[in-house]
Amino acid sequence: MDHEVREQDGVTVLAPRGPIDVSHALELRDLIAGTIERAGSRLVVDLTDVTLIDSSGVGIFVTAHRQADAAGAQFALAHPVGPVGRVFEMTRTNKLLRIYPSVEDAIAALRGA
Amino acid sequence: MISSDTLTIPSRTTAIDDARRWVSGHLEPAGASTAATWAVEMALTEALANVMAHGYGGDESRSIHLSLQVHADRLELEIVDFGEPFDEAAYTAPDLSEARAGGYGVHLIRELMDEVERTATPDGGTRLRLVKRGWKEDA
Repeated sequence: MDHEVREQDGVTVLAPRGPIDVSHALELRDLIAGTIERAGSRLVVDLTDVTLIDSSGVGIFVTAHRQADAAGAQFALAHPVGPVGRVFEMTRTNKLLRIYPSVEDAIAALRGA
Repeated sequence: MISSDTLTIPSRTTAIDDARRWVSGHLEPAGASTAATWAVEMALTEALANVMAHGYGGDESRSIHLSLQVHADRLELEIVDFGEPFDEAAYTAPDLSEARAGGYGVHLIRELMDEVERTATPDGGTRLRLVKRGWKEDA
């Protein structure tokens, strides 16, 4: 899966590109787990360049949210574009996941928590 | 009918991207809305993932046959496989009151499409027919 990882204001930002489906799910899971398993860590997944998220992708994010909670880390999603974010509403996982309109908003929320 | 095409893909998850590109390659030049193209790509993705994981049990040597018809009033996508048939009677919709790490595929397909019909083919396969209406409207 094409992606970029950067540090921004003390928060790790993972920016995948293209679709997130079952063919990328394991790689995405490992990329996320590498950060949120450390207590106190903060991870934002920047969805700006993500073109589609299927149910396996939603499952990865739900698991990551719970793993972060258990580890004392923080996890958020940022900036789903166009219809991409509708999948969270259709599965109602938007009520669990922390989803922000921009990366800056997500970073501010995680730094303020 | 405006256009139609068929495609056969291997039952490998990496082929799902090829199938999406094939669909969007027909829908975008035909003037489909972003929302309709996304909905069809999503439903196709979920349907293929289900066939590969459950119908074929992860056997990557099998094939999946796709057919797309573009009509003025609807898009019709058919997905034919020869794996273990989906048990409609045993299916229960996910409880959306509690977030889960999986099990949303069939729910999403039904939410995204206007018609979802699963039938047996004469040669022992399963045909999943998906219909999307109002595909030129940005709804």
